[in-house]
Amino acid sequence: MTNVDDTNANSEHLDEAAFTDIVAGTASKKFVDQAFAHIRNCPRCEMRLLEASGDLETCRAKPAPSGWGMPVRARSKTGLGGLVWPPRRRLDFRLAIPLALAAMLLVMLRIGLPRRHPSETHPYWIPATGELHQLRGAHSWDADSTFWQGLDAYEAHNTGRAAELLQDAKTTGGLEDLRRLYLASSLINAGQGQHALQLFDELKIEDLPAPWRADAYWMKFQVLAGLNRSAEAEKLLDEMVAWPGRVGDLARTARAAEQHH
Amino acid sequence: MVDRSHRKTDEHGALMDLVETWGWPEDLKRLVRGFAGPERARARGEFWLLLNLALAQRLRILSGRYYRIDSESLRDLAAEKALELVDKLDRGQWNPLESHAGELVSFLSTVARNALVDELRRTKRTKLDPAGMIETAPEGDGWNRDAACHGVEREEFVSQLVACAARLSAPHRIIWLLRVLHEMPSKTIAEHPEVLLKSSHVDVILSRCRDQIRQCMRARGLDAHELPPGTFAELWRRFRANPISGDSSHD
Repeated sequence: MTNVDDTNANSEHLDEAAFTDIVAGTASKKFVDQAFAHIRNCPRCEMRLLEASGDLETCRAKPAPSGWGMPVRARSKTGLGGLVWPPRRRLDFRLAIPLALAAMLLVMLRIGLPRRHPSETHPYWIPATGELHQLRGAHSWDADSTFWQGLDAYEAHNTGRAAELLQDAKTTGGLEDLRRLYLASSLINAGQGQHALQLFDELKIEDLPAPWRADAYWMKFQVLAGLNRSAEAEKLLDEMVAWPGRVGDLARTARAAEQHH
Repeated sequence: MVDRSHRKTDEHGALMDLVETWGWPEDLKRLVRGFAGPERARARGEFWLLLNLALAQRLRILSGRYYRIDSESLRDLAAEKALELVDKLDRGQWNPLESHAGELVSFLSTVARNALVDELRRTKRTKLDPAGMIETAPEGDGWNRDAACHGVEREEFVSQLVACAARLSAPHRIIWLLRVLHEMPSKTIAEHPEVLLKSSHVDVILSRCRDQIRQCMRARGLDAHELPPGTFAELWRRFRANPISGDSSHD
């Protein structure tokens, strides 16, 4: 039960349901104002507020189970950490028929070609638009403009331009690893697997921030498969099929396709 | 609906009158309804966060009453139970829309209580006297209660610290706040969706922030080591009071 007495902070306290509401943002402004008048004078309630907020922040920092995570996050305009959702993309049905015909043509062309690893035939773009925006907001000082232009080209799937710019970009700190990762991805999609593999060998993938780490392993797997280094590729795939999330899904699809072949 | 009929005195009633019911159970239900709509992914993401938060708070109530459990284990336990619940929800074995808000609170309390009992059995923790659990306010680094000042002096201190924190760049401030408010380890901060850095980089930024805050406070004739009560709450409210949805309703 919530009981609040501003004059005697030790006898009455806000209860946890109040903190859930305050932290989740489901309490009214008037309630929050009055609750803070108490919290300011009550170390115990202040501690509980911080614990509740810490519960939420820690939950945000840990990966959610597959299908329950926030899809894309980006910094709010205020820079205070709100979530901004990208505009939803809808299929333009005027394009549906030409796309279907193109897909059929690709399937027909593929018949009779030498078989490659199923995963290798699909270009993979790191799907992190929101995180890229966030990166831009948070670390603009750690890279020159060429790096950000390279990422723009990458986002536009302009493989050659992205590879060229990211090759020349100057970065420091954690962004250097991400420069190499995006460069490697551009090179893979440009068909330069050997060069990309060199970059992966220089990268410590396990040190990359979480959203990029799984992507990096997936792309390294693609390169290895493309260069017919089957044993190493299979070893990576064995690990990834057990992962939750998008890359885990890709790995399981690749494994299924492999078995089908 | 939470029963508020047994409040003790009229003087405690002013705040209570503002709240007909807690918002979060209804919000959980609103989010479940959103699973069928065009913002399904967003609704599920927010539901996961809110369910974790609610379970953690239920666990805290029970943990404080009966068993001592550290924050990290408590959060892991909340996540474990939340995972079971969303799995049941996906398989149609649990539907929050079938319960009213009070039943939802009661159900989550039961889940939390059972989780704590299981945890106790697992770890064979000693049952503690509730009297021993009462005061666990943070002490030590940066929490010098003897130095706590009052009234105008305290307001002045807090407003100056908020002003100094406001001078940090927004990305650096987030890192600093996650550490000072929640004592999050660098590795966890590094994986926070508003940070996404290497933990070594986080350490460097934290060190810079500490220096900046210290210098800023000294320039105003104040010592940032002597934090009066209410400082953290003000910092949180000023900089981190964003609801799960990101819509800042009470800024």
